[in-house]
Amino acid sequence: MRFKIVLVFLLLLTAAVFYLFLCWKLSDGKILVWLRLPEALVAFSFGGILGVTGVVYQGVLKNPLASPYILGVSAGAAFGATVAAFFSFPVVFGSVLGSLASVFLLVLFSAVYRTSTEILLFGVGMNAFLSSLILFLYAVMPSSTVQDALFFTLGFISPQPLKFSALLFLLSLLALFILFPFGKWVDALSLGELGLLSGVRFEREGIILLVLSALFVSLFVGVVGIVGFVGIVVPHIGRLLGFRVSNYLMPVSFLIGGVLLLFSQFLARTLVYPTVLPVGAVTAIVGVPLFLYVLWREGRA
Amino acid sequence: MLEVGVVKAGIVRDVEFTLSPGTVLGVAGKNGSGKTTLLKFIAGVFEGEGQIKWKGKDLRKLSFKERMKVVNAVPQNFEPNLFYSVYEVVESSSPIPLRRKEIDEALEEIGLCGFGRRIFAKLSGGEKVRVLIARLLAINPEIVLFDEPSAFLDPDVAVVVAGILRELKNNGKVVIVASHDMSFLLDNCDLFLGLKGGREVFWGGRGDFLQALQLIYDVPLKVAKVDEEVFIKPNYRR
Repeated sequence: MRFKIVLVFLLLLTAAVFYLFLCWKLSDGKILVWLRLPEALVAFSFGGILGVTGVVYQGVLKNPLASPYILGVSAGAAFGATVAAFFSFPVVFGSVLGSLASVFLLVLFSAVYRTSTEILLFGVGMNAFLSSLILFLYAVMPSSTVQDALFFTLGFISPQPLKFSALLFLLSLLALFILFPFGKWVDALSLGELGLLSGVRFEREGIILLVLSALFVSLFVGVVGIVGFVGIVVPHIGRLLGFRVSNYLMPVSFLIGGVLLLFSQFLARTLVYPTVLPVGAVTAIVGVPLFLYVLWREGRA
Repeated sequence: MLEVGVVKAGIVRDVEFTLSPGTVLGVAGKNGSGKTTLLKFIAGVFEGEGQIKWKGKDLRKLSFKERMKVVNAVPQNFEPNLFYSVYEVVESSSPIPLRRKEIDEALEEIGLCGFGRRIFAKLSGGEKVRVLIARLLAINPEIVLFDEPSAFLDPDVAVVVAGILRELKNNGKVVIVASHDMSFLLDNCDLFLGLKGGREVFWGGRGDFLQALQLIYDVPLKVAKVDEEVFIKPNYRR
């Protein structure tokens, strides 16, 4: 019952933010269809994916701070994309390969060190390492391309064709529907030793979930770049709304993540009008206070 | 029949025994003697060399999930880091789908009526153990493993747990209990396995177990009999 009310509320909120985004200071119908709608679709679907994969990573690694961003999966994708762009390969190939490589390293490490804290710390280290590799690449790049590349690490939603953005939107829905049935696995894994007794193991089910999520995230990172904090914060907002089990938390996080990124993109294009800021720069501004609020609340509980 | 033959699993070496349905086995030993490892090996959570057969079938050939339906356990300690409700903890950790009504019945049986919506992490130690036992009753596996079930329990609840053990026995389950609590084991088990340094130092029934205590523990234990009741304790006084 509560779930339905929140879902309806979130759908309304989504519609409202979509409306705000699409129609704010709108002068021309063409701008709506060919510029704002694609942008809105990309922002919403990426935010949704980050929310859902945040739920998966936090559950599988039993840590409320886990997300593809913190664990270096996004950085791996961004590194791959930067390298691909450097050698003028298709960027998406680079990002998918990069994120899969970093997940592979994570899995390899997890086979040796089994506690989730150690795996998380390894991910944090890998994140820092890959981020500095990206910065290294920037240092050696011709300065004319550095601006684009920099926007990529900050997460910039560049104008996309309508068809392509619709495809990304469908992809994000597909990801939600693919990950949704695995919610039971996520819950079991989040229970650690007790969850093991339900027949779900990190070595198998957990790794499948990590790889699958990384794949979805990397496709978007290849298009938009790194967007931090959405993946960590959004599942916690879902939990504060009273949803703990993944079957509820995943769709709720999808909507919250989508709305958060869409609203961030709205701020990104209106704050310093007419310049469009990288969305990643704004999500952190919106996301970090929320994140600190969550920490504060959990500390008191 | 449950046939367990451990060749090597962690610290545990060369432990072999057979249990028929309706038996409660008590596993005794010091900290680090391999009690938990043995239970984990039987559950299939801990990999090792050896064999486990249930009714002639090799349990190791089952898929992990199928195996958990046959063998399940009450783990030693469990602290979730998310605020799941009791229902959610039980549902998420069960190898079979459970209805809320079934969970309610199991909770009621162990004296936690109406606890389904309480937040698991905020329960007391004894209540947590009882929820985990209720979870096991709801799953209803053939082989039941208890790791230190009496560790957090006050006398009232320990009596309830003892009743549950008896009921499982009467229902033809194989029950294996690992504990430090000698008196609890003595009163609730039919057979006893003593472990020391991962090796079997004792196997036998109630009468022999009392004689074998010095094989399992290094300090002398005092055994006192009062009105047919047996009390076992180390000598704390200097």
